[in-house]
Amino acid sequence: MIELSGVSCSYGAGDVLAEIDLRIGRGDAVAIIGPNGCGKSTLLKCLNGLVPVRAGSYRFDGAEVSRDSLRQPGFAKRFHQRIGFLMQNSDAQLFCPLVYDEIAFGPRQMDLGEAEVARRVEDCLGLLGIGPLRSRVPCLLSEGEKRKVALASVLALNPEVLVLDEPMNGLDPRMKGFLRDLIITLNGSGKTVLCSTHDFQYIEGAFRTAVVLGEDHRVARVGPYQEILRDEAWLRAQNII
Amino acid sequence: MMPLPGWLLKEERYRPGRDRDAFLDRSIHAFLGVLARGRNLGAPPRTRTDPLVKTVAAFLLLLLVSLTRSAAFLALAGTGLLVLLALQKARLIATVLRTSLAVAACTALLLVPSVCWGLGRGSALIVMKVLLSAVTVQLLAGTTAPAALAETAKRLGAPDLCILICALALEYISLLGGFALALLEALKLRSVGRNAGKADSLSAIAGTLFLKSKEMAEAMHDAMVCRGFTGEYRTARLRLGSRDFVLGGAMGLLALAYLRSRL
Repeated sequence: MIELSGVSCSYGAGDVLAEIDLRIGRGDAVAIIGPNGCGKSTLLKCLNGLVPVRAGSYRFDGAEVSRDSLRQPGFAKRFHQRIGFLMQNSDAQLFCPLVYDEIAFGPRQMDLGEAEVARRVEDCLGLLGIGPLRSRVPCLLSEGEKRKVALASVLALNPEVLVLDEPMNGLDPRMKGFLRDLIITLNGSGKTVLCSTHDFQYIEGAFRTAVVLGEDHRVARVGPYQEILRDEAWLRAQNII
Repeated sequence: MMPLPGWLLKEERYRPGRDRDAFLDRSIHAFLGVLARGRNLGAPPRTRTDPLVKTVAAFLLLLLVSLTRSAAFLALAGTGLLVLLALQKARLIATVLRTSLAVAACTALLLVPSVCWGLGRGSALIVMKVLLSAVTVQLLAGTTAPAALAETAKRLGAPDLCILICALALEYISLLGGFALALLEALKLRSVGRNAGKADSLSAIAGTLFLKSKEMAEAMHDAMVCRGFTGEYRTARLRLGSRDFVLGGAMGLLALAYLRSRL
């Protein structure tokens, strides 16, 4: 589904991702872990086509994702519908006047008809337990509520791949548990899930594979999640725990 | 947890319709460019010239350049600025020249009608004045840290509240730029089809940005108060060196040249 070959990205001087090789299959559940500043968020942005690939190649379901292909509106829109991104900062992801409009923003553009849009919005509100917030102003919600609204607005597009950038940050333990269960349920239904996180205790059982990025901005290790998490000495050497 | 709804379990059969939203890409690229330039420039280089002397010299130069009607005086001031510019790092020289020449070119374009009316000399003088003023201001900004500019403003008698507002604005230009970029990226990621209300989306982003800027400014002010800030800026003792006297002397000579051009 997702293939990165020798991908490097930079924001001007110096690479923030260097020669990344990665293959993620349909229906995989992958945790991206690594110390602060190793490039986890940049990798997720690159997968969403927000950071251009400086060198190497990125293929999504067989199609090359590049600056040129993303300039074709048809390709870019379909690509963004198929890969949903929950940003680290939910504040920056909410820009509509009401929670209902926020969730309906994507489906309304897909020419689904207002009845289908309303059904999707209500389903997402119910799934995330935020029905009472439908008429509230997104930017005035609590951190956890904003995260749920942002996730609902992504799910309403029905993406095949869900990319979550440190979704547990700033959430209380109950909300973290809820998010873990939701990730497991979504992955069980066939969605591919990629998630960067430091909250290892709260994502127990949610991921099968771990990709570890090193401080040199390269892939340090890829393998079964449980196996990598058990290798505490190695994780300590990588400044991850 | 509720079971997943049926539509979320199926693959989406969706083909996007045509829509024009190149403005989003252009805005994102523009923001990325500005933020990348900010990151690459980093902190202004420390110069041994005192910020107060530099600021006073810059203001005096701006005043003389705006008052003069002599092309010879402008040529002299321009030569002095070129010498100062040549002493800076290549990246700063490129930035200053690129921006200043763009501003001067825009001014020249605006003055085309007056040239057609036979006011060519006056128009040329105005373009020269704009170019020199832009170079002066950018040289000052590019070689002086924001904190040093705040201290200079205090020495020149600016009210503390005014300095606080300017300092907060400077501090948050890059942070707010980053936040605005993230909002535009979020809009782009969810712009998966035809958006009939593009203007509404952009005005909502502007509103969110305004609320966020207020929140961030309040948080920063609270943090400053918690660290002992009482609303009063303090200044260190002024220490002048040989470079300050050289710059002061050069400005004195330039002022004399201006007076001579008026006689």
